[in-house]
This record gives sequence, structure tokens and C-alpha cells, in this order.
Amino acid sequence: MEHGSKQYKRFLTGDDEGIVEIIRLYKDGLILYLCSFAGDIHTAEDITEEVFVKLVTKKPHFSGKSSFKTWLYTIARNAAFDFFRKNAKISDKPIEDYAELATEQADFERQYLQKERELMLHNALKKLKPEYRQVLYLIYFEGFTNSDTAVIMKKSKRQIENLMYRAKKSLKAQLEKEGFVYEEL
Amino acid sequence: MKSYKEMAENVLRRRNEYNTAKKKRTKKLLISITAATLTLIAGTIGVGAAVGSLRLLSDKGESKITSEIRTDVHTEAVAGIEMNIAEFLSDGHCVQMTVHYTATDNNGKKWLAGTQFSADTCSIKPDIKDGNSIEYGVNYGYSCYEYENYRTETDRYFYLGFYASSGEYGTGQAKFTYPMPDGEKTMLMNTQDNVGTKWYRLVSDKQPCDDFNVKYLTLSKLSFAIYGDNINIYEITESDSRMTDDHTPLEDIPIYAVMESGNRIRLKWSSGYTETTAKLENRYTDLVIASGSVIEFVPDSTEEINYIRQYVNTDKIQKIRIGDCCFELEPIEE
Repeated sequence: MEHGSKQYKRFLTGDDEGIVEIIRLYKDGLILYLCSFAGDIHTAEDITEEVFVKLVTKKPHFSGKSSFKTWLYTIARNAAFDFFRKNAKISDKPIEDYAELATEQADFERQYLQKERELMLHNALKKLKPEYRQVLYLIYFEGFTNSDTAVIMKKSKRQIENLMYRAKKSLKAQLEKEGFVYEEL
Repeated sequence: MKSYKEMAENVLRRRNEYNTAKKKRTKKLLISITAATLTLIAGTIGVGAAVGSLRLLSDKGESKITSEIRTDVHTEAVAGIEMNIAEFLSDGHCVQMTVHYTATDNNGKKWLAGTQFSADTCSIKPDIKDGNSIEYGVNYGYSCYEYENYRTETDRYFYLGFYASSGEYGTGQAKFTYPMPDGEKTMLMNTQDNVGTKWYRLVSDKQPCDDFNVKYLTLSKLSFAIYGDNINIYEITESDSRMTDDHTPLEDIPIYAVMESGNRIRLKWSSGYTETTAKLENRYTDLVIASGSVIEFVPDSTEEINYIRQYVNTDKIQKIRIGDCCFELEPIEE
């Protein structure tokens, strides 16, 4: 049984350690994914916590038709939209917090994305359109297949292929602008 | 940044707070649930008619859709369980139904209590001809949720629905999948002869952007779809079509229904499935530019529901505004 589903089953039968283990496994990846919606790491962290709160309060049914990780990232995407619908008018962060936030975000990314090449790519992603960031993050950094990504982003596989094509083109242009040549794109 | 342990502590603390609050809410709800149950038990009207008021709890708009709701559509009984399609409403694009399960003996009660209902196990989806959604240019989303306030040991009620970007998918039918004690079952349901759809020509001397020409609107009491001609959404070659890089993102263009009163209601997008091949099936045009339900989302202050869905009275829609352009509606006779 893959990572996550066993722990979720344990949690549903009353063992809270199951959810603690899920949080350990997926917290950091979810924060970086949600950062592509939120733009800053603290909001992404808040939404990530909401995702786990949703799991423990609503206890949604995991059918096993997709992988647990795909299912969890789908919930995360919905939670991001819910969050922004509810908080559309709230912006209470003083401007001076942003410098500190940027350093903290960079440290976090360095910790999660250990390879220099990944870090460089991830930094380039930040300058792309949100939808491009999301599709590239899911496929390149989290290793989802096109089909999984289609499930998470609620698009058809064909739409994901089109989106990837445009996102890669945009990323390549961005990297070239910064002086990098990336043959694999 | 929190460590995973700190986040886990927060999550579990919030779970405990949620459970405590839920217990308090349950006590408050007891009176209203009892009243609803009494209505179901004591009413002299049939089950279908009683459930008719159930669905309307969440649809408080002015649109008079009650008369179009077909009730008591189909009943099936197996080993202590009776499944009844209590309500059904459809215009082809948008299908909604209420499904009522009743346990008729102890085995049925056990099955009903132990069965997981979700969109994975209980759903209605468009039965697209040959399963070819690409060819028919149809995208769809579907859902299943329970009317939990009406749940008892012997009865469970579910809302099932789907929304498709186009009502023309070659069969005019939807596939209903549902669990029964003897296994998962499916049945085909006609989606075309319930709520009527009208076609309009959309007339304006300008267009909202250079990437497409808006041409037609289909409108029913449940949904709308806007069709147009492709200019720069798709790059078409002899063998393939691909979305262009530089077109205006369709979702960025707001769409409003302008009512007779002068009020504007923002229509919700569901992402269209804009395929050039849709030309084969959509009578007039290349693209489904936008489609969605004709529902007004009114903010609500209750804790768990963020908005109330109100059906718009489509008879009172005078114009459609897309971006900065206002389109007159010119009816097309079928």
C-alpha cells in the first residue's frame, strides 16, 4: 500500500499518529505547491494546515482510484480556491514583513529542493503565470504523471498537454533571459 | 515556519474544537430535524412530492423550476433496500437529482449504515457517444452529497448532479451509477425532455476581444452556454489543433446577465472545453466560449455554507454583457 493511504486508514480507525505521519510526509511539498497559488510561503502554510484540518474534521472518503498523493493535492487545490474566496479582501501584512518573508521562503525552498538545478528551476517558475507554475511544479518537482496532474487541476489530459507545452516554452524563455540554457526542456 | 509536529498539534486541537462545536450544533438542530421527519412521516402527500421541498431548501431563487422537477422517476428494490429517484431536473447540460434510499428490514439498515456514498460510488455523468469527449468537445464535472439533516436509520437522501460544457454529446442520455446490496448498478436516463433550452443570436457592433467572435447563446432555467467562432484561440493545422500562446485567457473575461430591472448578475464560469472539433456537433460555431449554471451566488453568514445558490429567473434576462460588450438577445426559432 502506498505512502499515505495506510496512515489515513489508521487515522480513520482512531489512531491519531496516522495523521501526524501524513503531515510529516506531505507538509513541505504541499506548501511549495500552494505557494504557486498564494505567492507567499506563510499563506501557503496556512492553506496547508486547512487541508489537514479538512481531512481530520470531514474525513473525506479515499476511494483508491488515484494515488493518495494525487487525492491529497486535489483537496489542496480546492482548499486554495476556498481560502481565496473567503479571504479575497483581506491583506493585513505590513509591507516591511516582505523582506523577512523572502529570506524565510528561500531557506525553506533550499531545504526542500536540495539540488542546485532544481532550485534554479524553481526560482524561474516564480516568474511564470500561476497556471504554468502549478503544472510544472506538479510534473517536474512532485513527479506526477500527466493523468494525475489532470485530476488535480481538473482538466482533461489533452488540456494538460497543451498547458505543459506552453508552460515549458515560457519557462525556457525565462531561463534564457536569465542566461541559462536548459536542453531538456 | 512550523515543524510538522507543531502543525499536527494545531490540526488535532482544531479537530477537537470542531467536534465539540458539532455536538452543540447537533442539539440545536434536533428540533428542526424532528419537524422535517414528522413532515415525511405524517404527510399525506407522496414521498416524491415531500422530497420536492427538500431540494428547494438550497435553491431559493425566483426561477419557477418547481413545476419542472420530475418526481418519483424510478424505484428499485433489492434485499431490504429500496432506491428511489425521487426528483430529476435536466436540460442536457445540467442534470440534478435527489436519490432516496430506504431500508425496509434489519439487513437493509445495516447495509445503509455501512455503505460509503461519494461521487466515486454514486454518480450521474453524461453518456458521451463512444466515450469520446474530445470529438464532442464536452467537458463535465459531477458531484454527490448527502442531505445529512434528513438521515435516519432507515432513510438517506442524496443530491447527484453533473454540469457539462455542452448538451450535445451524441446520445441525449446520462449514465446513473449507484450502489445496491447486490453490487454496483448503472442505468441510462434521458436528459433531453425535461427543461427546455432556447437559442439566441447575440448581437452587438463590437466584440469583447480579438481572439473570437461571439455568436450564439443557449439558455435554460438551469444553464447557459456561449458559442462563437475561433480567431486566435486555436491554431489549426491539417492534422491537429493547439491552443495558441497569446490568446486572452477566457476565464479572465467576466460574463453578466443584465436583468430587466437593470441589475447585473455575474454568471459563474465552468471552464469551457473549447475544441475546434466541437464544430461538428454545435450547430453553428467552432467554440464553446463559456458555459455555466444560471445561478446567483449570494453570500451567506452561516458557518459551513459560504453562499446560497439562487436560480436566476432567465425570463427576465434582457442582455448579456461579456467583458466590455453588451449583447442583445435575438431569439432563434427552432
